[in-house]
Amino acid sequence: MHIPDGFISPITYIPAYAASAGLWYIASKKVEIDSQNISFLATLSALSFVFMMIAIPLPGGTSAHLSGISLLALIFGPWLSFVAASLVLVVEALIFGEGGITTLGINILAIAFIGSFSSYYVYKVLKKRNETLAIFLAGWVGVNLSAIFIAFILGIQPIIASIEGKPLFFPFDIKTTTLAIMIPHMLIGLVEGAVTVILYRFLKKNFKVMFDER
Amino acid sequence: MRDRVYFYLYLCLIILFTLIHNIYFLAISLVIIFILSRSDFRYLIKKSLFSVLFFSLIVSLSYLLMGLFKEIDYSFLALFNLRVFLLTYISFWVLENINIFKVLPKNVAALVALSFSQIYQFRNSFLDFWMGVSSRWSRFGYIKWIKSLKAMSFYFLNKTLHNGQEISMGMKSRGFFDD
Amino acid sequence: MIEVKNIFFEYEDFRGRKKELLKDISFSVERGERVVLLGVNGSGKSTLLKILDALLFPKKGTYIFNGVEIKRKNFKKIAKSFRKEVAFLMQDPNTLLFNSTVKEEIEFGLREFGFDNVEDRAIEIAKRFGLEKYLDTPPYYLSGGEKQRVALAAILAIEPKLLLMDEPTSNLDPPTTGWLIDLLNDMEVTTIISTHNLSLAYEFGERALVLSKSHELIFDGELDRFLSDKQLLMKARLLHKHKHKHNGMEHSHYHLHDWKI
Repeated sequence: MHIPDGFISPITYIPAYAASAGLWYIASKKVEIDSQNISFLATLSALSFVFMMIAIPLPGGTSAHLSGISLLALIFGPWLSFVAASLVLVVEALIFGEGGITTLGINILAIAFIGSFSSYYVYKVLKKRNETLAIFLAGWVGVNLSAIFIAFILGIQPIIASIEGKPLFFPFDIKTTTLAIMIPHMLIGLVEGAVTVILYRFLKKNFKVMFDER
Repeated sequence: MRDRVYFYLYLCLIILFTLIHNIYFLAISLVIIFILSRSDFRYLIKKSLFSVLFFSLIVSLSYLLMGLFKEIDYSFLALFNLRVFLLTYISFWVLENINIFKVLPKNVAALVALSFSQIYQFRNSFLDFWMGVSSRWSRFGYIKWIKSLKAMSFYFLNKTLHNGQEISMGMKSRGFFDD
Repeated sequence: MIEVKNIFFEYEDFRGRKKELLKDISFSVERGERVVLLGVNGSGKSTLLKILDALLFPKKGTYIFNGVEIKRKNFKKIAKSFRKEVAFLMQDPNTLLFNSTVKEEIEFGLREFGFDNVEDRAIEIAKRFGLEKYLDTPPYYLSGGEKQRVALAAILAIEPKLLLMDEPTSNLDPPTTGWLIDLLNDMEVTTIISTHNLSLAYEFGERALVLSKSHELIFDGELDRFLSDKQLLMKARLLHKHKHKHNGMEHSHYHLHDWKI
């Protein structure tokens, strides 16, 4: 769900870069990136990458990828999850050549930031009521808020970047992008939520040491 | 130094390519970059086409579909696809030919380099993991899949914690930290 | 049993650049043979084994197992009978274990391929592999060597006709290595085992297939003949050269350090 280069105008991607740089600065204070944490962050980003690689086989020979961000955010907290996931996006963009360079900032905001924080806070607010539901909704909301943000960013392009009504970048309006992006994600979110519940429960039971620390 | 100069030049160019909306300018730029990247041309053109094909087709076809209902500007299709292709092509070309770790600040470079090597290692293990489990299945089944997903998440979480400690010790022994 | 004809395999690195990993490989293996697959790291041993287990499919060339050509297209139809006949011990046993207890791990294959008396069989197999006390333990809690045993027990439970093993001793300590060799000698199954450890090659079979660093099959024949041919050993890069002293004179020559006759 990375936005490729050429879809987004500079008037959008430059502020997005600034915003994600600002978030990175705050994150670096919160998780002390300068210290010995660096090796842990690297392996955590690898874990995040592996979660993103999980593909749900769908009938008909196709498959859908999970985002895995919710699981990461619930286990490690939103800041660590944000840093790990954005490292994945940086490595993918700069080294693997996947996902755009100009749109890297937007992808970081959508997938790493919104994904991590929305999942984490949905879980935190709801866990006292019903933990299973809280985990499930963390997964569902995480995926869908990221998707809404992307639909919004794509959908405002014809408004903010066109000359005399002619589009210059992504050409469809918010109504179209919302419909096209949100319907599949509402469904994928169900699987993401279910998988998050199963894996979070399982890891919590079998990895007591880690969960007791927090 | 060389890598840094090329990288900043590249950044300026991609911003420029998103600021100027003249089809001829973009087309001429693309031809110049084709010529400059001559030895990699065939590889890059294949890779870029493959990379942009899916999304470009979706956008272009939907745009044409929209044209059935209201007036559209056909030159947009040329502008949009040309720009997407140009940005993708130049990114592949430049990023594969410079050493990105020389461009980033020291700490960030170390973090990105370590992340890359771990991601690469985890990726191979991940592919092996699914090959291993599927070599024991007679056919695909969702219960088996969920079981395997659990085992896989356990394995990789363990690996994350373990490798993290190992690398940290390795870096300490090489004097990376000041303490 | 196996017929491999002119197989080529390409691999895409993380940037999508293609690299050849197997070049024009042809050989055949008869039922009951014990084959050792030799080659340095990166020569394509693992890839070849994955192709033989139909986890990867060659880019060019044909692979015929028991008279049936194994292709990506038709594999779904024959998967069940193929997976029942062929077992593969991957290099990392973690990749093969996904059930919640050792007992379930062994039972899995038995159920999957329609055996009867599953529970009794599983317990009997666990005893044979020295795993009785771990029956209710999750496999992922075990040590590397124990995992290897569980993985082997689980894949051998279904009595496969062909056993593929990728560097099976790389995670094992010497006593467990000895146990594995005894186990293999007692079994009547066709084996293809990869290793770069020449001292163990003799224990794993009589016939050698040797892959070169450039991914070609450079030898197919008796292991003895290969191990006594210095030119071939050098070509396969399975010899090493280093400096050392004899009576105060420093010089260097080729060595087979891990090869004890």
